[in-house]
Amino acid sequence: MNKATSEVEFERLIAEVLDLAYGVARRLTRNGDDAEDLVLEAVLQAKKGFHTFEPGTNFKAWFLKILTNVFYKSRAKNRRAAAETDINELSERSLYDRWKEGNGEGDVEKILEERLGVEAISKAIDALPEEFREVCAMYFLEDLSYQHIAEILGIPLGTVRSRLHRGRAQLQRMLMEEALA
Amino acid sequence: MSAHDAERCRRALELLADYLDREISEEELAFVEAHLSACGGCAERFEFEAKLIRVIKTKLRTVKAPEHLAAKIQEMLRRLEG
Repeated sequence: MNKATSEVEFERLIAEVLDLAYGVARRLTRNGDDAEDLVLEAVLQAKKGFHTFEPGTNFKAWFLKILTNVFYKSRAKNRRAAAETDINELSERSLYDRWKEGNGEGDVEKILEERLGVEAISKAIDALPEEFREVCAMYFLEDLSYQHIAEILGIPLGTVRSRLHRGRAQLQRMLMEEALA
Repeated sequence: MSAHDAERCRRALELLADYLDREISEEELAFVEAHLSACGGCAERFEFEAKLIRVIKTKLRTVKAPEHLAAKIQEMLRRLEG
């Protein structure tokens, strides 16, 4: 691939992955401005390392790996005060249990769609402990396998599974009040 | 519900998330599907969870990158290429 073709191809791939990258960056940084800075830095690093990308492989996974690496490097320098939910404060009962305790009637999907707004869901994910938040962000924003998430984050498959299960359970509890209000 | 049935429900619920994500072995898949066809309570719970996940994914994926971010990226790439 010559230089001009490579530049065009890189821009095309970045354009395709931009919404996803920004969505993941928003969840990692929990801040719009920081998310933009993170995406810009990740694009810069990706551009520098684009010669290592193998055409035909998963660009989204390749780019998200760079994005998370950039995030953890910058975070080590400039750690934000955590505003995470104390999981011990959350009810042990799931949203489903609470739903059943109520009337448990009606079209669940329609009711959840009406009651759970993007803001409420984003806020709930942002309140998850970081190790759960990063896995949940990848899981909810893109149809990645557990194996792909493990490769992107550089953690074992079993760790992805357990963090995702626990993160989802906590998310349900946090969304419980919102959905059943 | 017998102790045996309760144990099957417990096992099915343990596999719930992996089942919904299709991250499950063939043997586990066969067990869950057989159980769901026989247990209305678990089938309802699985359906509820599947719908909740679908709603969360759909809502979160409506968030787009700001237009000015795409412009900033273009500008940065032009500078690098220039």
